[in-house]
Amino acid sequence: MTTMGLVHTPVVPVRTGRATVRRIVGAIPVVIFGLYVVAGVFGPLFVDYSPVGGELDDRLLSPGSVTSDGSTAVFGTDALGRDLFGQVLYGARTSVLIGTLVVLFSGLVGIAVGTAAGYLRGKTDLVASRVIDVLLAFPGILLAIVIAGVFDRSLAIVVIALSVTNWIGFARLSRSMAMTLRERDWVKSATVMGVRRRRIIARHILPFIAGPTLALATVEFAGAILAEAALSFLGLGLPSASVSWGQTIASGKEYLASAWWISAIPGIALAVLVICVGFTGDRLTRHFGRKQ
Amino acid sequence: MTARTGLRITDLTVTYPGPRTSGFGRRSPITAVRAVSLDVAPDETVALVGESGSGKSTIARAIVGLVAPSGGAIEFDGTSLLNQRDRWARRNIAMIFQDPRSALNPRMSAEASISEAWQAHPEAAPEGVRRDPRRRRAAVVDLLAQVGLDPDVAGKRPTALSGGQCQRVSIARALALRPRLLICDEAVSALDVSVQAQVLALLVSVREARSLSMLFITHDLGVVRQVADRVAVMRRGELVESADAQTLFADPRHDYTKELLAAAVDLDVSS
Repeated sequence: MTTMGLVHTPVVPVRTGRATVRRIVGAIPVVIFGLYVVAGVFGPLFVDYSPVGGELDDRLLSPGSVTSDGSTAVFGTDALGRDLFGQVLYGARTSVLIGTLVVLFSGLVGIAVGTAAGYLRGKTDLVASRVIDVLLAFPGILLAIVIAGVFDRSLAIVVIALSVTNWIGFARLSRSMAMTLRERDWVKSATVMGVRRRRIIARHILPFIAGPTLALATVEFAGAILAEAALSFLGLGLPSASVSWGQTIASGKEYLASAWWISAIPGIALAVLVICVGFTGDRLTRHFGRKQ
Repeated sequence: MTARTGLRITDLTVTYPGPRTSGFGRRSPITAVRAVSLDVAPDETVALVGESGSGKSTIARAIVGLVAPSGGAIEFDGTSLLNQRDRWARRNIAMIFQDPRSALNPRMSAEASISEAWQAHPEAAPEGVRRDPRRRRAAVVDLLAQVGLDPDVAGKRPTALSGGQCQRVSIARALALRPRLLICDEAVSALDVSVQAQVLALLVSVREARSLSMLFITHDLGVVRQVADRVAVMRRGELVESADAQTLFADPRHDYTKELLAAAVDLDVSS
């Protein structure tokens, strides 16, 4: 009778326990990244926090303490009695906003320059490649520090300072992809048919660049968030009226021995976000690698 | 209306920048095609044969403007084709590529690929196809029927089609602008033998129905026998012999042509 059992084994492979675990574990970074975005977008609607508020009676409270107005400071308070939970939440909004703006801005510029250089070749390519080579020779964060240091502190300056070197990654990727794509037969047959250049780029080249670019965008997103925190830590980032993890970490550095949570909690928040974005990017890269 | 004099290639030379001799050395140019003269009369099919690297595909690329010749002249119906952006030439000369799958954008349906031709040349499009989606679908289905494909192919992407079907879609797209000259660059070489015969038969019937000139590039002499009025033999970038198909097969003049024919006969016998 055992042979009968063998004959009737289902054709559809049963999902093994290990595969399910792997799927769940693989989804964790994406879910956490999503939570950060949700917290950054909607959190400030529910939690009141003002960077100029704060009771001096409540200064340097440890996580979980009850403040003078009776509420609980989940993450504790800083040296000016400001709620750390609110700072982390508002800081998430700042980080996600800056990361998104930098990726959008540098992505658009990078894809435009890279695609034009890779598709048109010739002088366009020569000029673009040399500009990229020159910018690659500068350490990106140093250039950002110079730009952010010269101008007044503002969101726009931070976005520009970080985009100045961030677009290069997008440009290099889209240039190399455009160079291989332009040799594909469907691009050649469109050329032979007399399809206009702009349309060839839009219909036959850009759709194939989009996927890998999205994967790269996550990496650049994480890099931009780290760089913004670094600028704010140095006091070159956003104006002090706004909330940024970098500023919070910097404000806690004098209390590391007595009130470790001021620097540690936003630091952990930053690290977890960057790691999760990195894993999400790896997943996207694998996904689009398979599709190519 | 220009006079129909067909395709006239005179002393065409194409050189590619070769590899550098050293890191900073000069490039030693490679001559892919050397002083080739070739005519394709209206309604005539000329087969261009030769081994790999003989320069036959380079000639095709020069005609459609994918490579710039370094010397000579190419004229079609009295108009020089060396002005690469000439829309008239783009419309009247169509090309079919070797690999049927990569010749179609994998993210576009057959309908989108075919109607792109009409978007590029509104003057050659059937009436209303640019604005009315139903008319466009009808025009595409009509073209697909002419190449022996079902209407449901219109909505499919190349990944959902067989190699033979893809090549038929390519042919439909090439015919969408009612060209006068069709260049087939190894158009059946990548297909299975049975599909090859069908696509060849299709090309022959299309040529007759539309009185097309055809330049048929191939290394397969069996294919040449079925389609060509005239055969031109190339070797190492030069034209070694050009004659009527029947004459060439019966009485080849050049040693290289004899070798080619002998090799083909050997293959026939062994298979």
